[in-house]
Amino acid sequence: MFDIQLMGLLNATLQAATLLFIAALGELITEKSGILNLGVEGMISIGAVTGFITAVNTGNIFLSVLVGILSASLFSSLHAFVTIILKQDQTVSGLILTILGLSLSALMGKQYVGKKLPVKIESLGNIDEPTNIIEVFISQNYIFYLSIFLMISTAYLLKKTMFGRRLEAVGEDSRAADSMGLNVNKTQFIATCVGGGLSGLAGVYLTLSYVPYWTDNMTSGRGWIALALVIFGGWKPYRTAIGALLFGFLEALVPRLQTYGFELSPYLVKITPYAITIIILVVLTIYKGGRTGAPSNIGIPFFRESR
Amino acid sequence: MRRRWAVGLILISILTMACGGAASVDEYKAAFVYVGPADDGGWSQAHDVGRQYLVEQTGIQTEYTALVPEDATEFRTVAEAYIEQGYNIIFGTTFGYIDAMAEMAEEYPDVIFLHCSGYLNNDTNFANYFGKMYQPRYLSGLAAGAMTDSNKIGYVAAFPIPEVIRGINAFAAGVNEVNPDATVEVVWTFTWFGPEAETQAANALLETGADVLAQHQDSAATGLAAEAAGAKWISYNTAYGQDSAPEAFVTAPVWDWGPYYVDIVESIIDGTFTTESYWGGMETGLVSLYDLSSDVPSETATLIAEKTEAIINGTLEVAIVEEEFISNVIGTVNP
Repeated sequence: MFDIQLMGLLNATLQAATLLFIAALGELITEKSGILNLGVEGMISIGAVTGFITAVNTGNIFLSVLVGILSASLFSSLHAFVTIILKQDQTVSGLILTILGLSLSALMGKQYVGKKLPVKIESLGNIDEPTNIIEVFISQNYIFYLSIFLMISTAYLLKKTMFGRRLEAVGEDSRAADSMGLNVNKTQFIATCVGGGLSGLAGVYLTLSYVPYWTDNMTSGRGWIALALVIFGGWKPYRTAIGALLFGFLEALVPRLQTYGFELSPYLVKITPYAITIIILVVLTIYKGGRTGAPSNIGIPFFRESR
Repeated sequence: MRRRWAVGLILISILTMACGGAASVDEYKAAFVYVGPADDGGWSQAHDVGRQYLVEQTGIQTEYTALVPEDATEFRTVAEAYIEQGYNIIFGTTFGYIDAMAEMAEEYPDVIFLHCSGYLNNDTNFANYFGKMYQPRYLSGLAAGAMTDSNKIGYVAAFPIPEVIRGINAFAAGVNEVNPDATVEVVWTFTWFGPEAETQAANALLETGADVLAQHQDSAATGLAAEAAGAKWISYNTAYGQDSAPEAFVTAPVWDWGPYYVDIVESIIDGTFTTESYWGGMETGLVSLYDLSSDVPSETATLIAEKTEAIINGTLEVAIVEEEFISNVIGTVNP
């Protein structure tokens, strides 16, 4: 009765998961430093549109990816400036970043809606219809492999290196970190811009490979899922990756449910990631006294002078 | 003194207008409001080609605004700006503008509102117009039925509303006529222009083994997916899709709004305009099937030519089914 194409589902799951994971990893790094950036949706859009525009005009894929990363990173420095230098509210600034990013990308991309992309991010092996799991993995593009590398290296950076220790110290207790001689502002600024750059990478993955097209609101809520994913993953790269696979699977499932012959509302499936995140938060509150793994200092501006 | 002059001028101009008989084209300015980009290669572009034809034929001054969401406030903002600039004919070319247009027609009795694909009108200045797109969709079904090897045809559908459902049924009826073994599988995307959702839906259908895809949306995303998978594609709206996916492109049920736009604007100018609902079929040229690609078998091409002839001279009526899907369609009308 139910006719399920497993390889197609797996392929779509990996594609959706890659985008979510890269954006979530960026936000994870930012949040580790104690800065909450709700502007993920806006940053992905900026990366997506600048990458797309560069690709249409130059046809150079490497340059396009680079432009996408750098412009989203530059865009996120706005959040860093407002929250770290001016010490303003992080929630408000992040929300503004989302709204601004969506509108700005719509404005910038107005001439590029529906334009055909001359190039695409290459994949390792050119396989049209993967028939087994290995072929599905080989047919992914380079950013997929890059995201695996980023996952491993971020996990290593956070746990094993001085940089990770410092980042964690700043995010857990900025005052103590300051007393120890760490430059809190600088660390937070760098973490925010790295997070923005990764959102930009997620953006170019979207428009230069996953859906080779540009139109307003291309991101369609993925930034918010990435934010939920950070909570789901307990601020740990590997758990975030597992969460990305789960949420990516749900995303891949939405259009396919209809072809499988299930009578399940696509709307229900679409809210599932958020519902799961809420359930996890509730469970953690009940069983672990609310210790979700969030950095203690998140969202709190650091004033050196106040005691 | 100056004011008296102004009053005098206005009086004179009113008198000349009243006595002048038929009005001239200079007194009218037409504004078009599109839901998608004017060069989307689809629905909105078809309207924009019609607008350009209108300008060529009548010399009327026109302007357009693209990418206006289907939202009452958004439409109103755009339309009011045009009215302030003296535009007195407003074309709204997507279903979602319906409520805003109905309200504004009451507020601005001197402006004529023409709504595409709607069902509301009034007695004076608000009319609606549409075409019998299900007729060429039936013809495109004949081509799809002949082109499929897997006997699985995918249909990337927009919203479950009567217009879309009758299109799917007419298409499936065409498929059934040439290939009773083939089925038409439907996936809803809930978009008019959503390349992402359409790519996903097209891929989902291709994975089930579909080797011909048809669509109702305004982007070429379905065609790009079909091209990448080596499948065939029935486009929609305009033939511009063939540039996006030249290998996949088979044909497209297309719009030609130009002649209708000329007729309606001329009727407004010479005072014969009525607010009747206009629903043009293939006999008017408003809707048609675009030239078939060379890989369509010649006997199918002959059959399509015969059926086209029969629809135009009225001997063949394509059935309108909007309540449920006919038997060779897989999917639900209430997703």
